[in-house]
Amino acid sequence: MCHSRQWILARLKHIASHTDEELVALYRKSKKMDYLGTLYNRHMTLVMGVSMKYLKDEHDSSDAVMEIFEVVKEDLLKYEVSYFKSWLYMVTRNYCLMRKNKLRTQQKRQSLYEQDHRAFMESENAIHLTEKDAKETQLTDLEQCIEGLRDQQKQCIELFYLKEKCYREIAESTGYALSKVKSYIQNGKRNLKLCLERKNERQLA
Amino acid sequence: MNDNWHKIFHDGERPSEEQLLRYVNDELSPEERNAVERYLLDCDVDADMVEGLELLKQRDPGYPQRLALLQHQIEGKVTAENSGNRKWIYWSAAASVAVLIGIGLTWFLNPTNTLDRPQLAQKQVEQKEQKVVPKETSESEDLALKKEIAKEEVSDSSNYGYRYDLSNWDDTDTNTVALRGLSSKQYRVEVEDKALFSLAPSPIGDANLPAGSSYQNDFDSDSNVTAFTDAITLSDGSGTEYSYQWSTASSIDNGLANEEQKRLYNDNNQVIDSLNEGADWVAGTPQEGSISLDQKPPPATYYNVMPNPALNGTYPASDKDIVLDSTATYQQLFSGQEVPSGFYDSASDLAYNEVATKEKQEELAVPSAPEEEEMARDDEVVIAEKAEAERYSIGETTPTTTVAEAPAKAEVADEVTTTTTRSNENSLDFAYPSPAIALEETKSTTIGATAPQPKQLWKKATQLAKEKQHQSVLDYCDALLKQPDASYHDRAKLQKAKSLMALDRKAEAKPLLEELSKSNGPQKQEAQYLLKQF
Repeated sequence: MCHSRQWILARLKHIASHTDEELVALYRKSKKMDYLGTLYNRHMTLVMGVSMKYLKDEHDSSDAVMEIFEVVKEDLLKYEVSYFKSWLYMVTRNYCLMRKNKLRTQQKRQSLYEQDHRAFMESENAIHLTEKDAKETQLTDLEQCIEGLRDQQKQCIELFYLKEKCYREIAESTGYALSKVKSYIQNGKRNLKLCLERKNERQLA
Repeated sequence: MNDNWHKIFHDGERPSEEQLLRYVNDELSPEERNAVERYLLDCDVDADMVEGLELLKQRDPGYPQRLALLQHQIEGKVTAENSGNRKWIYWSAAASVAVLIGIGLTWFLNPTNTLDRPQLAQKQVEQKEQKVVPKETSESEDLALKKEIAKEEVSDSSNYGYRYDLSNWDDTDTNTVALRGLSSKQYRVEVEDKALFSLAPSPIGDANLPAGSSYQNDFDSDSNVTAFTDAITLSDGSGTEYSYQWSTASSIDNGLANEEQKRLYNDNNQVIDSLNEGADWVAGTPQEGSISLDQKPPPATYYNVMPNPALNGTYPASDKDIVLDSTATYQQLFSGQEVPSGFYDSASDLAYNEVATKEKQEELAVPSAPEEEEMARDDEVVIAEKAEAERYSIGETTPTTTVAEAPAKAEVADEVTTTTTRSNENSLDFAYPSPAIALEETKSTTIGATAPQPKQLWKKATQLAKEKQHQSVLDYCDALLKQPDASYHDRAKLQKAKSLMALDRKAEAKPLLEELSKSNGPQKQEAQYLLKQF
């Protein structure tokens, strides 16, 4: 029977309504490209953005988007993928790093992938633990830690979290460069985390 | 201590991708920026993406178009591979959904929209009954879905076609349609048609779209060949209209396809190829569902189909409420009511299917040509077609494709008997000539042919290009360029340039591209784009 418009529209809605994980499963099962195409195009901006970050060249990144599609097409059938987006990010990053370092052999890609996959899983856990601990930490500890930060970090952290200013506003009000503001906040936050962890350990001891 | 300190180690709520892109495009308020930045501090994945996109935006301010082009290239890959399988082609619109999610929103959304959204939401909800399609998890469920939808074809009262009147178009409204109280999943669905509109990869240049122009898109499934056809009608203000049509995907997906339909299918593929190279234009009223390959190139002016913010002033601001005028239903059709202008007469599809089925049956009854004669043609395309025809005729008798749907189809056929005659007269002639006659023509011309036709050369060239046999592509393109028939010359030049680039012979490709980029042909846009890569 010839599919009517109604059928096709319903089918389209149907494909687009799947979650990433459902599309992965459907693609693995049926190997139908429209599932993969929908899935990949849904996250193409991520691939392009990450490629740009690592390759720093728009033409190379455009090529990467097309080539990573081929990688995904194959690898998705080979590996069990639980979280497509995280996995795609790793695939993209590894592809870019490889391309940069001219590590082109399949074996190296494989080992890099596996290493990274483990590291990723571990770091996920670590972050969750830390955050869980942090949530239970007394605010007084936090206050002390903030006081212990370097002035610039403290100033930026306060503006960012307390006053809810964006990077650009902070740069304007403090006179620091935008990139500096970003790094003060990143480093400040990391220092706070470390400080709180130390306090936490001390309390446990 | 201030409550805000709690937020330091709390995961910010994940912004939507749309929100992230708006961050990149600098379309957020300082408060919104802060929220996104807090989230990005905790999410390496999205932070990398945003950082990369910011860099991309610096390097290439027109980056949404680059992304749109990439989406279409991916789409092309999928279409090509699907053509191999010849099973499913929904790609075009599925891609448009993704295109929309990826980039469309940020490009067109405007926070200053003054629409009364809740009210519209109500209207939309009332107008449209959202159907819950069961989740598909296996082939057998796929079949169940088919069955269900076949039933719906009889009883469905939801909308099936849209027309957008661009004289009332308001770009701030472009993608807000489904935000009106619908879930995000439905949202994607709701706007898919518009995404095709707003993100057609601008093959047509930069000029403003004149008021009075209209856009239509359609899924055309007449004749067992499924094709997605889009048409844009542009008015140049002097009373002349130009319609731009393209087919973005096509497939022979059942056992009823005959030679003529396969020929159309292959032609559709060619349209797909030419989509990447530009657009085919024809003056006059668009004919929904028809796919014309030999359209004349446009006159000097090209139009940008994307209603970007710069077009704000182009459209009357008085009527911001562009509620989709999609009230025609199957039931209305079946009860013999006239379909409003701009809607597709699905009855003609069904009528055509009936004719096609009959003709197929007649065709099957006629003894086929002797096998030696077929083989004597020594043409791999013919052999492939034959194998395919066998495959599909087997498919036709396979219970899985017919048993489930036959009863439902019979019911549909009964109901449309009253409209059959009219539809035959109206739409069949231009869309697809009688398959039986065309089949005869195809046979006589192909068998008698001695010299290669430009069309065949082009088909072969594009096929080889897909297989990345660039050296052979060059031979075919050269052969095309030697043809007296100039209709494929520009396409051949572009393809040649692409293949030369693939072979790293950029110096040879450059003059070809420069020539094309100075021309006014449909290949201009892509040639200019490729030239930037030098």
